[in-house]
Amino acid sequence: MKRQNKHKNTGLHINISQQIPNAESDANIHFERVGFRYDREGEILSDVSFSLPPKSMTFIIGPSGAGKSTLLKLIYLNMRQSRGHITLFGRDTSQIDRKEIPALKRRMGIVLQDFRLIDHLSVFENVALPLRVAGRKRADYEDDVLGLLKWVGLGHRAHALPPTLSGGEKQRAAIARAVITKPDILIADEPTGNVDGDMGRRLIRLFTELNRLGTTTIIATHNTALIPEDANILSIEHGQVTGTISGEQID
Amino acid sequence: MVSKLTDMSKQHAELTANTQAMKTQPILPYDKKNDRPLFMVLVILAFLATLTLLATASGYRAAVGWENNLQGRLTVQIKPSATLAGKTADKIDDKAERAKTILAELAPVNLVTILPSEHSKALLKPWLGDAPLPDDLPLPILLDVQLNPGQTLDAKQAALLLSDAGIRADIDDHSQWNKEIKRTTSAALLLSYLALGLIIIASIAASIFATRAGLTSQRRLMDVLHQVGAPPDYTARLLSTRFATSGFRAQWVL
Repeated sequence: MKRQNKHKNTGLHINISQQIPNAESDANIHFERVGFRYDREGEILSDVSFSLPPKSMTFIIGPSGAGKSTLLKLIYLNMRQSRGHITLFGRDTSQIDRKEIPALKRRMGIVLQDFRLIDHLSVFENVALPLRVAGRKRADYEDDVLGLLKWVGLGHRAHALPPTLSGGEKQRAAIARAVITKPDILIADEPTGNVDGDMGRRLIRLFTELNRLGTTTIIATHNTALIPEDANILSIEHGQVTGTISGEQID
Repeated sequence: MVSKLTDMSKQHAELTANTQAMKTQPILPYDKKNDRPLFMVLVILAFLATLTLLATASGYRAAVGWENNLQGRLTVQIKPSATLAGKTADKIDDKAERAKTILAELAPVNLVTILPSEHSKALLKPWLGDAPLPDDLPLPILLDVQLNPGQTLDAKQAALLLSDAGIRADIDDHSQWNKEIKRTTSAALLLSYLALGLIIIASIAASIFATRAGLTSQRRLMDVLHQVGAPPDYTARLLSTRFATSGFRAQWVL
């Protein structure tokens, strides 16, 4: 399966067939009565249950402190739940050995609000980092990285260092790094938190496009104005799922 | 439109060429400001370790040399008797010659040398000072007995042989000095090994401390590496390579 995508800014045609995960994806996420608490504190998440099918796009909404980031951390295996069951890639996460976590993380792309770019590495090197970590040679990934940078509109900033980038450019670099390994699941925590409305809309379009290519996409945001009408929404308040609604139901 | 696409293709080609020309940047580069104190500590430790090694090696060589020297030699002292003093001094020379002959015939003996009287006089210097000694002062005669390599001579047996020939002699096989040298050199070697061990432990402790400090100061980088799925041994390798490089640089400076 080979698709061509025409980039709006550059007009260049690039091959994005590599961005499409396996057709038989096991990238489903299932939470069953999940609870999470830090030591001696009350539960931050309580009895959270939901199911996200492969290739779906879901927005997690809720006020600050509702537990959105904690929920995402549980999905990308940064923390373990205190109780309940989480199924990821068809496996119960409580049964996953610590040694297996890096390999599972390589199947997920993560975009955080603070970008987490490495200041002393160029944009090109930052985006290529997951591939270097996976042991790939530069000659093998150079074209992929350059192609992806062009796709997210950063082709001209490949050699720039992160401190010289604008907020929107940093966010797009972080997204490029998250998707360079063609992840099955893409997780973004407040990806539009540090950018203006117009850039926020462009970023959401980018996520929608990535989802259209087959990546299960989960985005936590408090900016409901940016959510597309056809999106699935998981609403969280005080650590509990308060409902699942569609984008068009939001005021 | 065509010219726009041509420009973009040019830009793409330039970007590719620039990227190819650019070397892969190290994920954990050498940080002059933060790494310098550790580098200095490692240079000092490497210097001390080298000094200790040199001192240990030369001490060991000297001790082995002294031991070999003492083990393969005996000193025979022919003492002047009251009747030999003064006019009869020529008889002590006679006795020394006979002792030399007797000893030279023994199987372990390689060479017997009668030492000049200056040696005997030199032995008296600590007691009598530099003042000229009277010519008729009865002085013992010293014989240096060199043994064949790896062979020993029983000093008591040799003394008995000489006594049977009517020669009163003291034979010193240096066993007393040998033991003391052995004891002293063993203690010195032990101290050297201890110092070397402490320096190695200090180097390891400094490296562990630096690695922990490095982990703390590079917390953000480590978080990113974990986020992109780097296994723990990958990050460990990054840090160990970085600090091993510092160690090698420190050695190289020396």
